[in-house]
Amino acid sequence: MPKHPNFKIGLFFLALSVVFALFIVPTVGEDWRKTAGADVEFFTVGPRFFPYLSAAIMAVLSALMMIESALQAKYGAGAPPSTIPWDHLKPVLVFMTIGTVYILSLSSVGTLIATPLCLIACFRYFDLRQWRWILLLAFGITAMVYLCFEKLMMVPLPRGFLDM
Amino acid sequence: MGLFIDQIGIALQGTNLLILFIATVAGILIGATPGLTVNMAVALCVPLTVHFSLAPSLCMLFALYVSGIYGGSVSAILVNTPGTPAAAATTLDGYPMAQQGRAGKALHMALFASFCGGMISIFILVVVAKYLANFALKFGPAERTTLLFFALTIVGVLSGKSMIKGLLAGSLGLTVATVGADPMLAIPRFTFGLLELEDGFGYIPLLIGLFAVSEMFLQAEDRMRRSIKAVRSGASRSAHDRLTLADILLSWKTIIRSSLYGTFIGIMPGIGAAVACFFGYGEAKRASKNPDLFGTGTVEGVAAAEAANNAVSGATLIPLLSLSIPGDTVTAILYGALLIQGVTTGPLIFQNHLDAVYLIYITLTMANIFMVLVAYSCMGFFKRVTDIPRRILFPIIFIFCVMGSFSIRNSVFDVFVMMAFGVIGYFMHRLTIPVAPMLIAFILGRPFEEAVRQSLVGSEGDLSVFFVNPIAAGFLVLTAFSICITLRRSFQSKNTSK
Repeated sequence: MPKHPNFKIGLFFLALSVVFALFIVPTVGEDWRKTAGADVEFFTVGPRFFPYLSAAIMAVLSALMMIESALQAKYGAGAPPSTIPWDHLKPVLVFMTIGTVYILSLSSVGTLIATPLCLIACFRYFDLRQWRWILLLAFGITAMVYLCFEKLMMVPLPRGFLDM
Repeated sequence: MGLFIDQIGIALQGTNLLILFIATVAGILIGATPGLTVNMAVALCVPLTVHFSLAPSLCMLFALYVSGIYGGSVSAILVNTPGTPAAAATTLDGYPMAQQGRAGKALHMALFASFCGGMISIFILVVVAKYLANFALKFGPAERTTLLFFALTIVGVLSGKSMIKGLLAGSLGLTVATVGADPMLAIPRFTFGLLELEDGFGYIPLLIGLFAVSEMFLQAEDRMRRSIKAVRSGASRSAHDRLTLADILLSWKTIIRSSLYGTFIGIMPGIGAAVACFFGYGEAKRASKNPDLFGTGTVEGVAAAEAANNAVSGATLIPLLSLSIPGDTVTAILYGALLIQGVTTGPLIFQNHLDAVYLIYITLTMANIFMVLVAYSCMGFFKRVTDIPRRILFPIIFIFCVMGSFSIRNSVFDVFVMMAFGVIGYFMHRLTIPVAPMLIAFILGRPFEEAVRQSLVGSEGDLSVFFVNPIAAGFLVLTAFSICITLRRSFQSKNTSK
């Protein structure tokens, strides 16, 4: 098995295209092509046509990528395998978690409470130390968001339990 | 001529100038805020036009439209967050320039190119509106298919070092575009019972996720300890950060070419500025003597994207005025605003409402001029954004991204979509898979599918429909030509690097 990272990327996309074509596209009711009507026959291209086409394109390109990377591995060409070190990935995962919790809490807690909490969590995690600045920014930005979206652009931001 | 001068007098009244100024400031701010779209701003202001006469109404709407498209480039350049889909291609070179401490140069070039693009499209609108609109009328599904196929070849140009990776990203974009109601029969596809997916994934959440949120994740890797801008010495910094005559001389051909492409795309109903910016960028890269510099922070790249997207603003009015066909959402809203003022568009507008036509030309030109004046005076303020530490800036931008994604359909689901594409974009960056081809394929996916299927239904499955028609065949020849050039450049680049 070649160790070149592009081989794995190609394999992933090939698997994705196969799963999409074999298991997901058939969930669409109509076939890609049909002839229907009681007395009149007409030709039409159904909703499965384009998904099959895009899956086929993806499969071909994935196969090409695997062949290319296999050749690169054989002749020692191409980029070396790249990995993300854990100490780099950890802050990303923390940021993703803070973001996801914030989005999840929007509907229940509401924008006005969730937004400053999210900002405080982010600022603290990313080493902003002065609480005066943290609080000023967190509540100032929340007020700005409220004025800009809710008041000026008339977007009904999620209010959570405050709506009750 | 007398009527034209009268209309200039009306447009230059103090109230109209004040409205132009306020709307330009608002347009730039709205354009620069991710998720707040030009469409939204123009739609919100239409009810106000009921209380105005034609001139102030046009001043307000055009100023919002023109400056809103430019505003998108400000956040695209400074923080890799395109404020509007039309500025997505601007990030490709604008943000690297900001990271190199050349944000000022990028912003000035974006402004200059936007102004040129806007003015060139207005010139074309004035001179050849009728003829171009008639040409656009000849575009049936087969012509649209081949035009969109030609536009899709940009995916190859945007692919960077590995063309296969770029094409794979493009195929992923096409696949993602198939989610939602099928464009011809409205049969739901891959919605898994979710009502939110009936219309497919929204452009804005996907765009914000792929470009802005993924960038924030990348920046989070070192816990956002630096500012965006690389540190430079004072002297070299000021020299690097000015737009020089040499930059303009380097980019003028690109600006004119991209403006013409943008105008051409703008005339075609339903394609829009987002496609135009990538089209202009892709063609500029293809025509450049130094295509390898694109994507690393070149002024030509910024000029190409910005000239093309702003050229759409004048061009979309061509089918609207001549044929009563709105080319995009904003022109559809403008159509409504004109009706409120008692102006009916269509071929007869040039006989019945010539005063309104002149007023449209004049106010659109003034909107472009005000955009330059206001944006130029704010440039110093814009540039300071890159001095803000990332640990402060990015959490704030994240909040605006969340609110922007939410505001499109007032749906938390769209915010999750943004987050999901942010994660996908992050891993794509880490695996050196370019995200721009995915976005352009996603944008073009649905109109391309619709055009292909309409063509095949019309010809009863006969593929010769794409070759027999002269315009369609012409685009196929252009497509083959551009693929050959892209492949040749790719092989040359590989041989040089070896």
